[in-house]
Amino acid sequence: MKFENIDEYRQCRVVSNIMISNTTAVLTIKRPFTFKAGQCINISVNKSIPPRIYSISSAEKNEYVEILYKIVKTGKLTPLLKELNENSLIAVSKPFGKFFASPLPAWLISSGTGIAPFLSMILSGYGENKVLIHGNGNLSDFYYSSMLENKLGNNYIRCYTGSEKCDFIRGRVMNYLDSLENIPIDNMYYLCGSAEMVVEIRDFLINKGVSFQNTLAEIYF
Amino acid sequence: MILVGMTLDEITEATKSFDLPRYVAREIALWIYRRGITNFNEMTNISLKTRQIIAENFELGLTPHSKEAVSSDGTKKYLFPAHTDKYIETAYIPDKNRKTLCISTQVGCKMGCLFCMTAKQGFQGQLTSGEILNQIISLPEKDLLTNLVYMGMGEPFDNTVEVLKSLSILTADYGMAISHKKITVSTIGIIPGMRSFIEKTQCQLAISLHSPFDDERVKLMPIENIYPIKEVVQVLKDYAIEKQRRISFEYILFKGINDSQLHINELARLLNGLRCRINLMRFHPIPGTSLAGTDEESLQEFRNKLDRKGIITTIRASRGMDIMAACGLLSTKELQENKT
Repeated sequence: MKFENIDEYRQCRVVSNIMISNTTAVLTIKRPFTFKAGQCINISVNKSIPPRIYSISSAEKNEYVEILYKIVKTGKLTPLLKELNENSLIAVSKPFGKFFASPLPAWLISSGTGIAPFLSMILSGYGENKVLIHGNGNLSDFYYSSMLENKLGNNYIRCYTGSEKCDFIRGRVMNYLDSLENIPIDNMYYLCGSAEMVVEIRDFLINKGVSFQNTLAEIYF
Repeated sequence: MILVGMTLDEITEATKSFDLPRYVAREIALWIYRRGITNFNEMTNISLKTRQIIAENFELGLTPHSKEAVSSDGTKKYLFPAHTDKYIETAYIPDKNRKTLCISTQVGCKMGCLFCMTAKQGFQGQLTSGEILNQIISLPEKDLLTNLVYMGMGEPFDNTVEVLKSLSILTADYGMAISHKKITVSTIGIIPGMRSFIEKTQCQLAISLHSPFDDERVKLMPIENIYPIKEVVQVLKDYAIEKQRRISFEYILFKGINDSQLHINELARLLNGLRCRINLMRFHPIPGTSLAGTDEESLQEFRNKLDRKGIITTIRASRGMDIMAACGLLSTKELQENKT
């Protein structure tokens, strides 16, 4: 699977590439297209590396497009992404995907960089009636916490599985959900993260009476 | 260095540094893939000295199955160890003269389809081409096989490089020399991998469809968010792939969800202009699911209505119902037993 359909990609210059935690960076380019919050783009650095899909984490109207990426030391692409500097060229696809925000009440549930599409939704003005639940093992991976606290207040819930002291919910997202007395079964549930996390939480919600038709999942692969 | 899973070019390259005669690489490939040796000493047309060099520097890389379950209908499910403490499933399905082997391409799966048991294991690793081929070479019934289907655990086009390599070895004259027509790869429709497959092989293709409506399919199969079925079908039409080989669409019928007249109409619209067939499948229930299979009468009716729309439609026979037919059930049970 090489760098296919090159005509559909455009060359974009990196505006910035900044580490925002020990393992995660945010890559910024000037926005070359319009997109809807929740959509993805394919990114690659050269023709020999297959492109990878990343959710856009920035707002629809923002002048810049941002993606969050976790640096996987054994990966093919992210170690190269990490080395990019201002003005480096990358290839970016058109935005695609249908993991769109809804104006209806919804819970947005994520782990790690799976928060990216939800950041885009909230920054784009779809935060009303939303509960955002984010699970992490490192405190530094609760990206954009201050902004999310301001926008969502008590509807921003952090589930922390690490051992450092903090005021967040302790334990996995799954344990937090299980501790709740009521799961609103008519809400929409957006899930984004690893397959394992998404499948486990979707099964849990269905078991609690949520129709599978009220769940929408985005899985990283 | 492990030999099973290497192409002829790779074996040639690997044997170069040992100053072996040029013909040896091809002979090794033939012995491994065509004659199914389990020991280098069986390569009797290669000198003893050369065999010693090979044995000192290479290993075959074959792993026998660790468990098997046998159904009353003759279907057998094998568990092969893969990675540490994990298993993959391989199903041998005999049916009169046809002996089909269903093989896995990943340990677990990342795709998260709602109706799939393998999805519940999460993703635990990629199989190498050697591990994919091992399921065939180490199969007790390997000499009986007539058909291969890549429909076991995992999404083949999430492991495209290794899958294509395994196909190349299966169909090569130095390899197993199996006809392209006898090998089918099933995908949920990962377009980049599908393009590579179409361009680099002549094998048959099956697409997991399950709903022609994107807002419904996305709830069953999250991949619809990324690669919508309409785009998948358009790619097939653009390549005119059906003129060279058979395309089939797999469709599990879920009661009250995807079995209406509207679905029949939309399927006909979606597949219009593409020479293909639909393979209807009964749902094999998995633990904790809210989904139920369509009843037998409705299943037949659905088939007849699609037929009348001009779409060749078959119903796949359910096999191995008494040995956890749904893909992923047996390996999940084994994983859980190992944990306790």
